[in-house]
Amino acid sequence: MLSVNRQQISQLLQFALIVSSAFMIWKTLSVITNSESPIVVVLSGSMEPAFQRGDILFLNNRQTFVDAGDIVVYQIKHREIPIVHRVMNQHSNLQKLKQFLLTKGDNNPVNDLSLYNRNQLYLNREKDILGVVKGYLPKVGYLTIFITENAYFKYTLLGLMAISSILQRDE
Amino acid sequence: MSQQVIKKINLYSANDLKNNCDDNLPFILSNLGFKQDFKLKDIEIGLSTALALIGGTTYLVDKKLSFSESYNYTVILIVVYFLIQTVFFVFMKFYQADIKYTGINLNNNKDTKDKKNKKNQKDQKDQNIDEEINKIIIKTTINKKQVVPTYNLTIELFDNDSNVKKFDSNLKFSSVFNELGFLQIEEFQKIIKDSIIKTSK
Repeated sequence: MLSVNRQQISQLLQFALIVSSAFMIWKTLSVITNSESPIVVVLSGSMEPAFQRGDILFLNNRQTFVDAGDIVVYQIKHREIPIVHRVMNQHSNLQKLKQFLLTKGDNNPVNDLSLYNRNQLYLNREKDILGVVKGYLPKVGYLTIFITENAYFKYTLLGLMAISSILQRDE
Repeated sequence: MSQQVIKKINLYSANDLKNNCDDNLPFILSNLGFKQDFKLKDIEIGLSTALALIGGTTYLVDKKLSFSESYNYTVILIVVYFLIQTVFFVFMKFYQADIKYTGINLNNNKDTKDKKNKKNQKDQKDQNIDEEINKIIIKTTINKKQVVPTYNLTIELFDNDSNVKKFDSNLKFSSVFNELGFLQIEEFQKIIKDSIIKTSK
């Protein structure tokens, strides 16, 4: 009886380990790039033709200043969804290590002022920027879009993962 | 204490055959007078629980604090996580490896003075498991490179002075499973017992 229990405990733990390893690898990447969200999926067409809906972007947030012309991902306070746009203007103060940015989507006719909070004229490099785009994979992110937009699919997938890891025993 | 695991197995699924044999080792060895020692399994469970807990703590820190507030804690947790992960990997790869059973002989006779007398009696006791055996380790692997997969057993016996005797054997699954896919526990037990007796000689 006791040994069967141990077997079951260790199989349950195996599932916990899969989940926690995935999470820890994500956090490691996050610490290395100094970015809250080092990998993002493009959700809109505002940066076409550079990026399309479903592209996966890899970010880095280690540099002190962002250059004009870089593509950044920013998140406005109290808003959930991060935005990928290009830096139009940058103003930096080298002594205070402060920088303010104005952004615009390549495919949008005007700059992003209307997307910022009320009375906010610039993005704060330190507070608002999640990272600078360093690389991308086209289209791969469609799976994520599909998962986030279909709640049932998400839970089905999670359930199947849990069941298979508990039932399956490989050598 | 240990229970027999009765299950219908697909006779062509080598992994399932092996797992079923492995699962029945505790039952057979308790019939043969051994008590299972869970030390290795407990270390495995302990390490993986620690890993899961650190993962959970990191998740909580991530939820409760902002990115910059949680940064230092996260770095510490990540370092500890990967240290334990390394220990866990080494343990599973090199220590636990193929060990499927560790047990202590309940009939072990620690009285070494009797050794000589016992050796004289040994011929009569031939069919029984040697009382000088203190500890047993069984490692099992599966050889799938052959025409028909074989079950490889390595038995290590330790006597009271920690001397080791080792014996490798292999058997075809067809010799212990019937056509319906059920493990013939008596056959399997006999093979294990014979192997232990052979090893102790």
